[in-house]
Amino acid sequence: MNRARTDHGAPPPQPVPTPVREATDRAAAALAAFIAEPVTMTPQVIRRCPTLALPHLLGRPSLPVIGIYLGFSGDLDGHVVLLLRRRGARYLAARLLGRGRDYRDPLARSALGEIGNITVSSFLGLLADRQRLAVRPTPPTVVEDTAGAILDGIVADLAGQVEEAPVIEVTITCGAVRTGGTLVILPRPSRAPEAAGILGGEG
Amino acid sequence: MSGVIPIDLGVVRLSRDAEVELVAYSLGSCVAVCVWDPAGPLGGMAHVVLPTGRDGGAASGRYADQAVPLLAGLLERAGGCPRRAVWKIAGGANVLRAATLPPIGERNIAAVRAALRAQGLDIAAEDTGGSTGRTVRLRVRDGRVRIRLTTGEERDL
Repeated sequence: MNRARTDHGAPPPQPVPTPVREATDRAAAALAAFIAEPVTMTPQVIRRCPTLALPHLLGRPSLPVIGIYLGFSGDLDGHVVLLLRRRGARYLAARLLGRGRDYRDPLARSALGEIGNITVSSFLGLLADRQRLAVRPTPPTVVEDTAGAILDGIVADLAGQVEEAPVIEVTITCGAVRTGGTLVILPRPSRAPEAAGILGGEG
Repeated sequence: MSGVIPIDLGVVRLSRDAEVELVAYSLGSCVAVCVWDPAGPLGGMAHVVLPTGRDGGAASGRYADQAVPLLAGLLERAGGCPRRAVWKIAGGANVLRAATLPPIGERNIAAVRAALRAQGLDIAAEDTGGSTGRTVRLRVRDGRVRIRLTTGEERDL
């Protein structure tokens, strides 16, 4: 398919489809119930990102973050990473476990994993229900590293298959605090036309 | 020219500028292949993403089996000698430790070693594997390779 290009050579962003908006609303509601605080999730435009440029998604690859990773498979197949700035991770850990709890604490890591689990399961669950697709998320993995190092493993998985990957970025705000959270959804090329339609995967 | 030249994913680059530092930021499963030839001096780096490439098409620095010959070729064309040069590698971590992701880091390390061996080139030092990201800096002036782990720990290779 021949896509129009912007002045910068990047393909123009696509508007966020309604199912994706609904899915982020549901994920926000689920997370709000979990941490007992209002949560806003704002889906940004869907854009196709050159696979090798994914480590630059948050600006600089050396940005220190807490990454909560889940894979998903079934009719939709791919990767989801919730990238939190340290401040955001510390805030969420404190919300769940009390003040003074550091995100490096094993219990806090477990709680952050559950945040990823709830957020991603709610998001993908709604998309799957709407399209009558089967999607199975994996258990979450929580790591502290740089954005580039965390995204590297996903790049390696995708780079062998595609030159560009559709990316959905969702920014997260908890209460009055901007957590600096970004949810990045990276579907693999999909054979399911419904998945291609929603997430921009190649049909 | 002086300063830092970032070596992004899939890039293979050589410099003869003694004031330059070649830097691969935040390697996870990727591997940085560093070469330094004191005659010149000449310094080069490849940022390998995957072990092997598909057949056909132009050689690409993203694949270990193609990046190593590309870097050796660049060095040779610049007047260097791959067999005299010092080769060091770093990276190949398994940062996400997710069972559903293939162990690309390990495969990248093995493929880089094999590609160097195939060219008859020895590895002088390596800092590979583990589960922590790394930033790798090669100083062209003296060939110093400096590793900075995400944990903040730094060491020379």
